[in-house]
Amino acid sequence: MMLFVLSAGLNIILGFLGVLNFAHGALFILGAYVTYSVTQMLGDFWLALLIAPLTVGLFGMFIELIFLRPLYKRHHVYTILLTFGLILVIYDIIKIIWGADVKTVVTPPLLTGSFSLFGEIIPLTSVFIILVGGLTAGGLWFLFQKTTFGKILTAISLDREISNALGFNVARRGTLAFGLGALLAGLAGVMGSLKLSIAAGVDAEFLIYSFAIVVIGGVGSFRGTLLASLIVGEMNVLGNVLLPELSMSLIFLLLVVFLTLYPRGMFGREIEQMHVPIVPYLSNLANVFRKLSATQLSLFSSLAAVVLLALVPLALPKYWTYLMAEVMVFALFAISFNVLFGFTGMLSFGQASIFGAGAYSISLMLIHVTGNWWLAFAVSLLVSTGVTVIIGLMSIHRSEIYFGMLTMAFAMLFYSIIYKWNSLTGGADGLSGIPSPVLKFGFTEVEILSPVANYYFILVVVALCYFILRVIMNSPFGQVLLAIRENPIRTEFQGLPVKKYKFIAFVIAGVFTGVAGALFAPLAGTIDALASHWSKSGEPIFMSLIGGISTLIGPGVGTLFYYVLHSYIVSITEYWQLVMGSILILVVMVFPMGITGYAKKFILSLKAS
Amino acid sequence: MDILQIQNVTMSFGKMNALHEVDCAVAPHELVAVIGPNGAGKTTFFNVITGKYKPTQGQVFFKGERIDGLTRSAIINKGIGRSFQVVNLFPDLTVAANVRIGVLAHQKQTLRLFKNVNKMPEVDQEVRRILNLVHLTPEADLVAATLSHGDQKCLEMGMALTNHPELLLLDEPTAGMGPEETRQAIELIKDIWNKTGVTIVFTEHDLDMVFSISTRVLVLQSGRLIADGSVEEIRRDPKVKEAYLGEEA
Amino acid sequence: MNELELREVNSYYGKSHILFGVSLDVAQGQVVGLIGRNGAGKSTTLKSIIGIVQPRGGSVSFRGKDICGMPSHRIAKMGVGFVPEDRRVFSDLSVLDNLEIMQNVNPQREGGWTVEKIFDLFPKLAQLRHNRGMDLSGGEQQMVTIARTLMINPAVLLLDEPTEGLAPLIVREIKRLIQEVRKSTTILLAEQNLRFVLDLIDYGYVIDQGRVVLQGTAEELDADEQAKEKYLGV
Repeated sequence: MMLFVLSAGLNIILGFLGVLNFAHGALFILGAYVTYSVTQMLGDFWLALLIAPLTVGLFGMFIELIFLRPLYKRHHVYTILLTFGLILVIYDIIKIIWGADVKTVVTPPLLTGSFSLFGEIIPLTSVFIILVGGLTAGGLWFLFQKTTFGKILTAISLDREISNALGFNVARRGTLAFGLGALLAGLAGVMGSLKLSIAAGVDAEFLIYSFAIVVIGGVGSFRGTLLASLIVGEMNVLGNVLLPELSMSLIFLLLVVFLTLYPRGMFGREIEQMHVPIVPYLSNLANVFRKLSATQLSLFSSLAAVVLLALVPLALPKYWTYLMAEVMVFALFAISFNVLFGFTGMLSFGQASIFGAGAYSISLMLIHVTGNWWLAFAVSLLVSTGVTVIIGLMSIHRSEIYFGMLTMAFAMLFYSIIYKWNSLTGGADGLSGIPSPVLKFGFTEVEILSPVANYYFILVVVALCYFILRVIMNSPFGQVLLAIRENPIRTEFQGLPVKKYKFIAFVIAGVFTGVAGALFAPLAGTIDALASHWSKSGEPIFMSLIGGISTLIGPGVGTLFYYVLHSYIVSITEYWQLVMGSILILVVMVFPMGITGYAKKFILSLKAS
Repeated sequence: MDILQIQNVTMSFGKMNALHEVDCAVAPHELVAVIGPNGAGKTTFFNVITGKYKPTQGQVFFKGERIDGLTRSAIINKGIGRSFQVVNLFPDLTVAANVRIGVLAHQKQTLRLFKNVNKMPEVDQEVRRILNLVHLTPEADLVAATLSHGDQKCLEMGMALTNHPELLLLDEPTAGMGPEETRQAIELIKDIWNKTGVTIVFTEHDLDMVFSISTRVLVLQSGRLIADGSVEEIRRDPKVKEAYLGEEA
Repeated sequence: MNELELREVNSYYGKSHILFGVSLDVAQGQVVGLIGRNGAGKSTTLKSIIGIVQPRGGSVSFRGKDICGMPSHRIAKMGVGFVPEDRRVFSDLSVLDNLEIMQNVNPQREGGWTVEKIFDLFPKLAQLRHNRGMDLSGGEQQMVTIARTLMINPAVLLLDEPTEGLAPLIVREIKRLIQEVRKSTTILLAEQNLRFVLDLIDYGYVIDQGRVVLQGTAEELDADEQAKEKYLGV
């Protein structure tokens, strides 16, 4: 029932504002922390039941008013990224206020104890949670079916423009709707505080289940959310008893099935989506772009960058050699992600699965099967490409926000398999002792042991991949991808089956993502399940946006910037999440063109004047 | 043989019939206007032909081959070009690049991954030919979104010509244009029609324009085809007068 | 003082210039026609009044107060009711809900529209009260959109092509409705159907290519055969 309350809030926000609120879990845990404080300071849990949801609700309205409202006119990826940034900020605010240690709420006297029913011992807290859940369901039903306020909200979500013209203040009611959603997250936090140890991060699992519930139940339908919460809750309980290895995966499998076959869920409606350009439009300078090719950075400067990178081990301390090797691997990850995102207009949350597939398969090959790097690499490439093809074939039929959710569902499914498949993957601990590559060139063997050798090896591979991608983006095929990004429907009317090209783009990006994964594992020497967690797919998005999504090299620049900044911030403050989160929010709201985007604009304006 | 045949097509959305048992045919090299009051079903008529909707009932034939139910891109590749009422371009690409997508598609070059798109002389030549045809040569390197509305509409037409269509469907080619732009657009359509020998079907709200260039006029009202004939016949048809001026109360 | 005054209004859709200096007056208690072909600029004029389109030049005033640039919901609350051309009923809500949610937008102490009064005026809707918007026919949807807007008790009603795409029988019904509504409400009626408009209006403006090209009483407009041919006819 706690899941129901949480999901109902998520559903309101998604259905009414079209915002996929990743910060919903953070609001939930915030509610639990407020409950903790109120019970500590005032000694009264019941007061917390009132105060916590209201506090979180008000905080939600503040977020909507300040951060989200200016973004509605832009592509939905920006609101998603903003809520991503908010997670980091909220986590650190929690850390500042409540510290990093785990909290527990003292169960109020009225709810301590239990009774037995049909031989089962049922704690009173469970009864309480079911009661609150039931009351919430009843309250929401009443609100949306019986009150004018609720019906007006429905009317607005059906047609914003006409609602506005008929005298409803749509923007203000949007703030209220977000507040209501956040309030429910806070209420779920109160409920959760009775059962859980409170710590930032425990919410992630619930957030994911909530996404699954909202999609399976259907956007805009509380009936569906209620039913889906019960199904997911039961599957979780039963699964844990019967098939503990597979229970998580089964839920995500169900989610994948729904998104593929019934994207409206059991009772929902389609989310209203408008097609807006991902790349913010550069109107005032647009005509300076003489031949607007995919790769503005000239061949010369690319080569210069390679030469500079080749000098790193000679010029900088050893620490930098390792850091830069990692930067290059993740730059390749981000660049190949951005081939989908910035160049084709497809926001995929599934790239971490592909990265993970590449990393795990090469690790397993090197540990168990062969010392021959070429063979291991070839097998790894085959595996990651296989994963890509599967995700791609299932996902490309959906567009925009549904594509994002479907790839995310795949990422969760894949993560849950890696996490639970202990015998093969080492589960949460992962694999360690992954040997360094040994390269066979004809009869000579080169073992790449030293960090410097490893660095150069990675530089060669990444540079090669970059130049191949560059050529592809300058090809007729690359032009078609740009056309799809700009206007998929018109592309169809130019005689091009868009899905086919999207699929090929997905596979190309996947191959290079897999290469990045295969480079990463031997470099790090260890790999754990987190590397394939869906939230890892958020990193390349962040890096792409910082670096600039309209250039091929942008995400690479963003990666470098991210790593350097990250290592600097970590060295000066423990609240690095707050700083990084704020930077992300700032970039999303004020500098959406990213570093290379503004650099390009600057150079062009110099040329123009 | 007729190039386009619409047989008994009905298109319903819920309870509403946007098209009701429409039957008509277009012969090669006609210049046919489809007119009617707002909401008469003109755009739906185009959308059914180009595969946006599958008709609820009835069939569409292009050169004797049934095309209803095919995907948009498959229909386009049979030899139909289409422009849109609301400007529908690749806004952030240059004018030349906008045209080039269709040219690449027509020359079956779009799966070439390792060829530099800027080094394809046959493609460039074709792009230049089309830009010349729609009088946009000087604007070739401008970003499409920065063009004037009239030029954007011309670019629309250019993009519809890239697959060397035998049938060109133009949806409200002069919508949103001032009088001078409208005049130029009419000239352009006539010019294309004469030079390429293409069959054109267009919807239009400007009746002066319709009467000045069409070889035949179809009139839709409330989803029904109420008249089909030459300009003179349509001008005299009392049913058409009624549709435009209202019923005699 | 006129209920509505438009002076030299210039409006755009994106880059296309749609209205070129449109001026018109709607006096209290009148039905004023805005007549023109498809694409002449009728809808844009109405949208410029209600604020869905923000004019880039000129002024729009309602009861002497400049409303240009205000958000549409405020204009609506002041007493301007807009009935869009493409109907757009709230498809998931019942007919009754479509009406009831409007009753607090701009309530009147006495003499305001109530659901009962609406059902007296539109007996058909009373029968359909529990049907959802999406299950109605085109004509029924048109009635709901008019009724829905009346519920906000507008001083001026902007009607955008209420007969568009409707069968003659329903057109006659809509005409009856307008004749009822005009007793209490000032109306600006956009139409291309000339015959329909002439019976209803006190005064009319003919609009072509975004400009007012002709104005006069119904009789004057009807008498001008040349203009009818040029701007409206076939």
